[in-house]
Amino acid sequence: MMTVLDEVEHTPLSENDIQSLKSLKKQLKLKYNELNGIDGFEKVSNNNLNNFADYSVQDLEPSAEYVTISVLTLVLIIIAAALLL
Amino acid sequence: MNLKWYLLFFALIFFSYGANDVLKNNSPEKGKIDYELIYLINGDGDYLYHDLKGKPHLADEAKLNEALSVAKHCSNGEVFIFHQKEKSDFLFFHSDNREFYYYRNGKLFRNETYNDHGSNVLLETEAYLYNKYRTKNNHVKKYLLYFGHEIPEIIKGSSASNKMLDVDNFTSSVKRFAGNKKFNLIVLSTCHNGTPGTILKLSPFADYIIASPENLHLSNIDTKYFESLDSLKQTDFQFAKSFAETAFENLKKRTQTVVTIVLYDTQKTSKFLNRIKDKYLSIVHSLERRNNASFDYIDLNEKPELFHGNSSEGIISFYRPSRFGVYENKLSHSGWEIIVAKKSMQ
Repeated sequence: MMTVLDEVEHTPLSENDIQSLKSLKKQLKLKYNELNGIDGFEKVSNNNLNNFADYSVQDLEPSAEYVTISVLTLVLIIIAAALLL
Repeated sequence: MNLKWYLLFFALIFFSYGANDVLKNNSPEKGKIDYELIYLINGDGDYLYHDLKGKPHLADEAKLNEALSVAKHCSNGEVFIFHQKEKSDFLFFHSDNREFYYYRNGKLFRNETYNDHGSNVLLETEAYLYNKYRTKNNHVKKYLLYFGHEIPEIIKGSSASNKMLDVDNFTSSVKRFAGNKKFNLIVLSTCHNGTPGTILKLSPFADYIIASPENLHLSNIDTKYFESLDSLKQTDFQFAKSFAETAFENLKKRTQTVVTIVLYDTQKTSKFLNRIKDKYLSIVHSLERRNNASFDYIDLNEKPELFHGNSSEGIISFYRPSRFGVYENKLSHSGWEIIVAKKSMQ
């Protein structure tokens, strides 16, 4: 996913979408690090994985952000994912 | 023969509209009114969330259903529900993207759709409808509940508009609803509105305010507690505190993210707020003027040297840290969130 986002970020995007992608990448990176016990995080235990999954979804769902990814950028992400995977 | 069919057709249309109008707007017998409850539900920004079973919900639709249930239980009050939905205009045709429900003594008294295209002021149409239908008894208790995304203190990159949702315009709207009487309680089910700026500006219009000085999960603050308004014998403070605590406990059960709900006593917090007002607003205005400035929200406890004074007076904080993430070990919260410039803390 991070690779896909990296690829899309290099296409011509609006400032709004660039900031959204950066924010999304940062959040995903933090979740990844915590899940795997990297960068100062304690690794999420097996019996806590479901709770962590709930936390990840709830934390990513927009609660204060007005900045969203445009349809075009979303399409680019899907296309990049299809090409890279 | 053709003329007869046309007349019959138009008669059917006319009477069916008329009948619907009567059915929707039937005037039930007016009972006593002890309180008014106003729901402002914003639904035109992304409100999709998932519960712990992974089931998707639209937060505004869920809140509307809850509001309608509360309204039916409020036998001794009036309930005004305003649901602002997503715009679906087509070319030059403006759709009615808002819906109004008015309940009196637990019965639906009025239901209509409307839009705000003729208005240049935030929530002007809603305030008009409220003032049009309310019983106009200034001795009743009044509650205002707002559900939506953060009401921003800082608007960047756009010209000022009286219709834009920000704290100043929202405060002006609240004033139109309040009239000559303060609200007993205002509830802001939004993120990042437990700030000195928000509470300071709303304080003249409410005795108590409940808000979150953090992110608040999209499933919102529960309001089912209002169903017991008819039977509860509580002071305003007791009611507000119990309501906040109940909402907090419910949010804790269904979320893994941070939960912070704070009850602000507007009279008791005024000393602290007036002390820090000039400096706080100076920071906010400075950030607003600088086009490229980005900002962060932080707990006042992280920068206590910025604002001196007893910040805990007049607040009751219900806090549970996030179950995971960078702040899972943050065990307490000051109850206040402040805005600071990113990377260059003042």
